[in-house]
Amino acid sequence: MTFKVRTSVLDNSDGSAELTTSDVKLIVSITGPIEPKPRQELPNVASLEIVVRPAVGLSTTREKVLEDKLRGMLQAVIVRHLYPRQLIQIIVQIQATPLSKHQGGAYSNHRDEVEYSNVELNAAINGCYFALVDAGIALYSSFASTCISITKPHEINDNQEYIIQPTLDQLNNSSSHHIICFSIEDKKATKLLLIDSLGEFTEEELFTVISKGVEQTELLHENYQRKYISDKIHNDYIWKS
Amino acid sequence: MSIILPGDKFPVSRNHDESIDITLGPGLYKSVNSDTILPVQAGIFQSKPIKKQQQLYYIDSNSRRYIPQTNDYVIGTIVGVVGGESYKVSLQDFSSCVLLSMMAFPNATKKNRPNLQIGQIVYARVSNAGNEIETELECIDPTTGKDGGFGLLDESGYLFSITNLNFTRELLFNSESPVLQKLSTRCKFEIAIGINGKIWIKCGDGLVINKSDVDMDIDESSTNNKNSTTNISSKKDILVTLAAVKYLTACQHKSPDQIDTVLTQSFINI
Amino acid sequence: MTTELKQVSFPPEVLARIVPEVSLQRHLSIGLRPNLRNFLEFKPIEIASHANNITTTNDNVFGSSIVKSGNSTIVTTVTLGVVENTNSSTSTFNNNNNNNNNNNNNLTNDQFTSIYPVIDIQRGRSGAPSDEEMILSQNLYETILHSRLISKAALKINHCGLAIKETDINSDKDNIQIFYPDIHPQVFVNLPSSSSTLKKSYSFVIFCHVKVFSKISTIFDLCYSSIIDALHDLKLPRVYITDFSSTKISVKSRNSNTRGLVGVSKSSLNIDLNNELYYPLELSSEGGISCNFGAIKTVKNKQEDEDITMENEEVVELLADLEGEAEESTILSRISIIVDGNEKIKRLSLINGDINSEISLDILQRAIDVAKLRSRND
Repeated sequence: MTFKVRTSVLDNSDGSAELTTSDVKLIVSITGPIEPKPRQELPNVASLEIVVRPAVGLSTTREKVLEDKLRGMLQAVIVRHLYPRQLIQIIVQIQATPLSKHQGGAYSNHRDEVEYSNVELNAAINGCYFALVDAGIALYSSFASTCISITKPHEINDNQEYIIQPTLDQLNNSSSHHIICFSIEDKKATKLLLIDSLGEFTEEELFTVISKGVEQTELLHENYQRKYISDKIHNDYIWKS
Repeated sequence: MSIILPGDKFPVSRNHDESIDITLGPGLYKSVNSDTILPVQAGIFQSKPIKKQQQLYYIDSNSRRYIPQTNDYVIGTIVGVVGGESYKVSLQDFSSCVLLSMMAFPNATKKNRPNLQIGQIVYARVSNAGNEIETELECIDPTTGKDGGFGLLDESGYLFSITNLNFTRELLFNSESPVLQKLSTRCKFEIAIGINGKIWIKCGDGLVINKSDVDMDIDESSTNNKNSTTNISSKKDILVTLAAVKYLTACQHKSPDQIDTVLTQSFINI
Repeated sequence: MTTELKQVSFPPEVLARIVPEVSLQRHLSIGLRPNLRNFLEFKPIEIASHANNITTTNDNVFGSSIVKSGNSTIVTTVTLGVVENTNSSTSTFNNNNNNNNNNNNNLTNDQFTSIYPVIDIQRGRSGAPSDEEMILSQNLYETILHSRLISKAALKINHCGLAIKETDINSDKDNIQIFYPDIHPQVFVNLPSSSSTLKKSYSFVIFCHVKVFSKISTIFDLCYSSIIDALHDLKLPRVYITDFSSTKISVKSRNSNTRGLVGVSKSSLNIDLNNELYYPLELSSEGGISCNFGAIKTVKNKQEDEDITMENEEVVELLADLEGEAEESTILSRISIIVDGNEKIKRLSLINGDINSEISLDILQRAIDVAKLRSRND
């Protein structure tokens, strides 16, 4: 699994992160807390402005759904009471998606290809974590998200296959796919922040996926988040003797 | 260096000694409903005794957006007047503006007001900051009642921004920081450091604009001896100022052993 | 001089507008919701698909449904488009033409397609769709796509008819007859099979126009039921090619916005409005029932009999089918579940927008149980 992060990539924003996974690449930029427009202002908490831009073309209803889901999740982890009447602007620029990579970079909205926008949601959540930490926005906890797909057995005796970070082909053969995002407190996945599951699955499968999600998000936190953030802090304090 | 991430456990167990009061600094948050202390930012966990029986905990972390706190020293640009009583001051682009009362200057009275123009910059102290009220600045040293170095920063110096706010804090608070000490071996300078990421610096006599300079621009062929000497020294000061700016901006991304090389590189043409 | 401050009290309806969260908490503490339903009680839904005559009175509507819940009314009409299949898509049909529905496991997701929903929430103004409408449409599109409801094979036009003009010598009138290969095989025996128009294959595209009147609650569930019902009601017409005329027909090409001629040999594609030849759309799986829940933390006053002490206990309550301003603005932790009659979950979307009123695994389990029960009852 590739999972590469660079933080503070943009000079003019308050926090930014570039995330590269095996099939998605995106940049998240955070500006804030800044002065909001009057209509955005909320009396006792910070308002969030979330913009998702697609890899190619203008944003469509697809990006609106991604924004909506991101907002629902991020408003729970940002300590918004600390910044009343302020605005936090979060911009996610997607650079590459499974589909655009699959077609060798050339993008065409071919109707025979099924889009899996949740794969981008997964990457956007993980990218937002690093950007928010880079911007120094107060968070109740760390958080990490993972994508798991279930492939139904072709033979009756086979077991179902749970695939973590599935590729486009694996998604295409899957009977359901799930995005699981957990808050991470003291290196342990504690609270469910978001589940987004599509396809056809049983309750039992769902709970198996959730327990695998716990494992995966903890691994992600331990192996990548801690490493990249301590690298970032060392870099910020490089002048310190 | 102990690195802490949002959501990690507060590293100090609080039961062992109830008699010690805890003061929480930036990066730590105690929620209203529960008694637990949460780290909300990623950074280096610091713990310092401030008084007897009082312990300060905070997370040292870098950020690029300045959030005003009482007693911060800042550099602001005058952007307007509010209600004839206060100046509207911008501390950082896109942030909410703060207020600087016209009465918050030494010896200011209703009749004797400071005369500041839009675009001028001031060095000030945050006198009043909080989430629920508008932030206010003042240009008086509260202990003496005099200016104490606050007030208008004139146009002979150069204002520039440092993006990493943790570096400006280092420059202002750490008197042993080698960065400024090494700079002083190269030139004579006057500096005002605002922890909102703005630094005003003047090397030598800085940029001197006098009438003869303006005349010189109009008629370059005139070779008045006296004028050209002042002009040359002024030109040198400007070059030195720019070199110092280059040096300070570069230092935020360099380790202590690289400072000497950065200094030589920045001053290479002088 | 001191002035005495009087306690201000508001009637419940004013309080609900000023501080919806307080109003909601007060309702919940006496075990009722502002809409006077129980915590896990759903609002009744009335579905009238066959009782309406939208389909019979409008030639261009092929399926419809009216769903009512309280004051909200949702009207879905289904219209069709025809597109030419590309070479790559024809190969996906060939793979699974003979697969039956029970063997869905071997199929891949790209053998399924979705509908194109247009949600229109009527609120007395026109203009660009609101964010809410866009999010709803996209969610419905993705849900139906991934739940493998409509296979591409089901929408393929298999027996494209041919209209033949015969001039009657006696009356000097044109007589048009439409022949279909499966109904009139004898006509097609003599036809050259290499005819280019017959070699092309076409598919239907389903457009769902959903109009929402008097919206007072989250309407994903209602829209979903309405669309599923309209799809059950949907009857696909037959399509034929005229080889002789160049009449303009209302077939929209996918690649351009022009309406009009389709095909090279001046043949045009027509929809046969003879409703005796309509055939129902074959759905690959059950649609299921969509339910939504919200979770909110409440403080319960636990009164003990022996002592008079009041003990406050914080409980996260699960509320079904959110409705009304107080619930929609205050409850941010939500679940939306679609379960079908076989207890299979088709979609689950959980967002814990309020970290204090967290939906834990126990609550999720409870919500799934309720959703299953509801899908069984229906």
